[in-house]
Amino acid sequence: MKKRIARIIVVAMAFVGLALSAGCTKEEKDILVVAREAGSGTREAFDGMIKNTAGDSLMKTAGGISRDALVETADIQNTTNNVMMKVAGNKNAIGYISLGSLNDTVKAVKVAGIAGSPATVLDGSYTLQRPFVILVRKNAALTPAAADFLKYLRSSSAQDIVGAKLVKQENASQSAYIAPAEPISGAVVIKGSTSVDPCMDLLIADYQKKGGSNVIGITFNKDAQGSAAGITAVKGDTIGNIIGMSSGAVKSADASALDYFSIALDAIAVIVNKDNTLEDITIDQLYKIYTGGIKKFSELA
Amino acid sequence: MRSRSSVPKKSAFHADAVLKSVFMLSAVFAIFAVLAIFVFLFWKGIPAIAKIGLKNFLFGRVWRPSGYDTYDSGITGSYGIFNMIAGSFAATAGALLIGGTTGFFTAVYIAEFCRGWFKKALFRMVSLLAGIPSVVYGFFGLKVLLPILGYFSDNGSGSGIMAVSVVLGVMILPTIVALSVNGLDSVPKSYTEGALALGAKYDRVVFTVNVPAAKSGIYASLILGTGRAIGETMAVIMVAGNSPVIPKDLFSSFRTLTGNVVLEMGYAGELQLGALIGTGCVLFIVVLIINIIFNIVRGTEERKIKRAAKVCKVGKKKKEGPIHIDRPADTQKPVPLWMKKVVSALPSIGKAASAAASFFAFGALLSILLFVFINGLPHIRWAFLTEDFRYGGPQTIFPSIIATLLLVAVSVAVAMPLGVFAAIYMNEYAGKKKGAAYVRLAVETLGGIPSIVYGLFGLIFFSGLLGLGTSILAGALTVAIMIIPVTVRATEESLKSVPDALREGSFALGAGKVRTIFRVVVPSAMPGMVSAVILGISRIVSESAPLLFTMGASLKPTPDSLMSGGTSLAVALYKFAGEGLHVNEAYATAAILVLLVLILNTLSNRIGERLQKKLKGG
Repeated sequence: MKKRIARIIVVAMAFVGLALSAGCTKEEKDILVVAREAGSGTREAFDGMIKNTAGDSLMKTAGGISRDALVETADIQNTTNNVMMKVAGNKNAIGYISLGSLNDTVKAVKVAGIAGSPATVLDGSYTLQRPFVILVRKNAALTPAAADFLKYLRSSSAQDIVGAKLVKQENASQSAYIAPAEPISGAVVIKGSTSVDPCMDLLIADYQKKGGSNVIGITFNKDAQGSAAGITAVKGDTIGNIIGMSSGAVKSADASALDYFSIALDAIAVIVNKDNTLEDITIDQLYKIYTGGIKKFSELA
Repeated sequence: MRSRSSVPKKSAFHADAVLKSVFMLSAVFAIFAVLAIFVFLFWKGIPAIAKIGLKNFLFGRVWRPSGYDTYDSGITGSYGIFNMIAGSFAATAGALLIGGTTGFFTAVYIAEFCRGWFKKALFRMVSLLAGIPSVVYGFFGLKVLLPILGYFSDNGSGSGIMAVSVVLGVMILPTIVALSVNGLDSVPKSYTEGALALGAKYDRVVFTVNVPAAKSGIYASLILGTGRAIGETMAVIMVAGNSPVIPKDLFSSFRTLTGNVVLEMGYAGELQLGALIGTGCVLFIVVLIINIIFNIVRGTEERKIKRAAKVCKVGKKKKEGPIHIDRPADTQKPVPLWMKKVVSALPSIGKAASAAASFFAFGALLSILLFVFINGLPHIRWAFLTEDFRYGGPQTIFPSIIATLLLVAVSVAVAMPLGVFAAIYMNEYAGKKKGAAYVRLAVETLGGIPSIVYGLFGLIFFSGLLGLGTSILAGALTVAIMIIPVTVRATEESLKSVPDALREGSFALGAGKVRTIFRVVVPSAMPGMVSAVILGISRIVSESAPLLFTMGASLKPTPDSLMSGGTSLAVALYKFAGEGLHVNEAYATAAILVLLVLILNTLSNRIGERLQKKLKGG
């Protein structure tokens, strides 16, 4: 009896051992492609800019037919920080995030030899860039609270905050924000991109400081679920207190319904794990990785 | 004490009649709620499915919605959910495989091979697994499981069917264990003793007599576990990978139906939202079918038992005749010796498996608790708990604590009376009436509906139709309907355990029905009802999926009214867990959440047990 049980245990352990070794004897792992979800402005921007030599992008063929070329095994994460977390936790991962959100848990690689920074974005040498756009419904009668906050966002005071991590807009207003004369109160709803979100946090903090006691009555209701969420919310705004944030240029289909301006230029950083030796990558290589053409980092050398 | 003659008879009767209607309406509310959810889901979902085309929707292999599609325009996106149906199916099958077998063997160990304090302690600890919020499971899976499973996957990611099956398996384990242990414990001792008397060893008796006798309870537990696995959302999306494709192996990214809804709900365009609601309809139908199967299985087993009882009685009247044995020993083919040895070894293997399964279940609980507390407790600081949220400032959960308190207060205020009155009606008035069966079916269905479907309903009805927007009130009303089944069931249990003698004594003394209920039955059942409230609160605190879009999903300042949005503790954990920037806050929130839920559950159990002791002794 005991011998029988012992035999069964040994066989079971052998199986487990085989299974484990099967996993471990794999040589270099495939690239783990991390992408954003379908409603992300960052994804829209990235998909539109990553092209192969024939001119097909991840979202459209050279002939203009729209499609989704993302490789099937891609891991989809729905916030900037989720992408960073995935890449930071995985040696073979590659992803893309807003340059403004980059921190030291991941490594940004150069694209076509150029490192992303406010300078290279401004002079255009770093090609993976897109605007951060603030939007409200076209011709909407904004509430006093929303109108005042929008005034702040258009001012040079906001640009000062933006300039810390992102690229300032050259054609922004040159005048600083002046606090309102009378106290204003009300709720301001802010919805949209998770990439713009950290910047918006700083902007709100600065607005509350500069506005002083007359804006204390303004409450902010910020919900970042993706650029598309912001656009949908703004389009459906009936009260006049919804401000949207989008991390990509407004599409022509939406433009007629929206009043918008660009508050900053942001770069899309391509990130890999800190242990990855990759330093430089081309757009064509990115296209191949994201469509599954290149499966291992060793093929890039 | 007032003499009876001073109580005007007429008003007493009126009060009785009025209150009876109140109770009945509360009970009917459950049916009403199920119908409302059904109606609103299908009202919004069917037009979308019609536009997409039922075949394209259910069997289409491409899910690439366009935010610009509306009901009036042409369709530019693809809305096929077949990959997600397959994903849900695979995840549930995997969960049943892992959780079902482990749960079954754990239940056998607890019910048959444990005694006394050890049995109670082990059972209670495994049941604790049921209280842990699903976001904590997801967080654990994300931080602990995925790195381990990453070794086996092609690209080191680890997320996929395997990860989801393990997490879901552990999540449904307590459900399966609880119901199976119940079933095994109710097997009449005479079965066991009869088999032992015939000379079988105890280990064999367990597997050849007790387990088959408890079949219906075990099947019921598996079906209930299936329902829970299909409906799970938050834990799944944190470890599944969420690519809307059919995965090529157990370690590739995939997406479930529930994941599809919650990932895209925030930004869905018009037709896309309709398609997501259509997905909710599919889930609703699946859960309904599972519930019906559950009831059929239970009914069949009960009928079988009744029929067996009848035959036994009839058999006494039959004439005595020669006893027929189907296969007399000398006409049987000789069983090979190796087979005999294997068969005789099976019970011991079974017992070993049971012990191993219990060990695994206990180990899972221990790992999760250790993971949460070791990483989280050091980061719980006073400032973290009490400082108000400032834009650009450090993350605190004080707003979440306030939001959760408001949420709980409103939900309980709404659900408690409805649940209690419904239970009173079911137990004191309705009993065997046909209407009662419908109410019970409705309550069970409400209990089985996936939390994300509640979220969709809350979005359409409370946030949309009633215009409550993203507010604590909308979230509270949604969650209130969710906890009605828990409340009804627990209150009914406690009402049932009040001995009829108490009621009859009260009637004999001349008290009316309502007076009896409120002066005699309810006070005796009070501990059970308090336990029900606490259980409900624990459930509210753990929920996140239905609150994401009805109450709010981003960390905000302290809510100042019921109409403002807020993030409950569980939603805050989901947000922290997703962002790599606030890992410490995530752990701290998880620790607080688990601590809170454990305290609530233990309190609820203690009070419930006190009631049992009192009634047994008194």
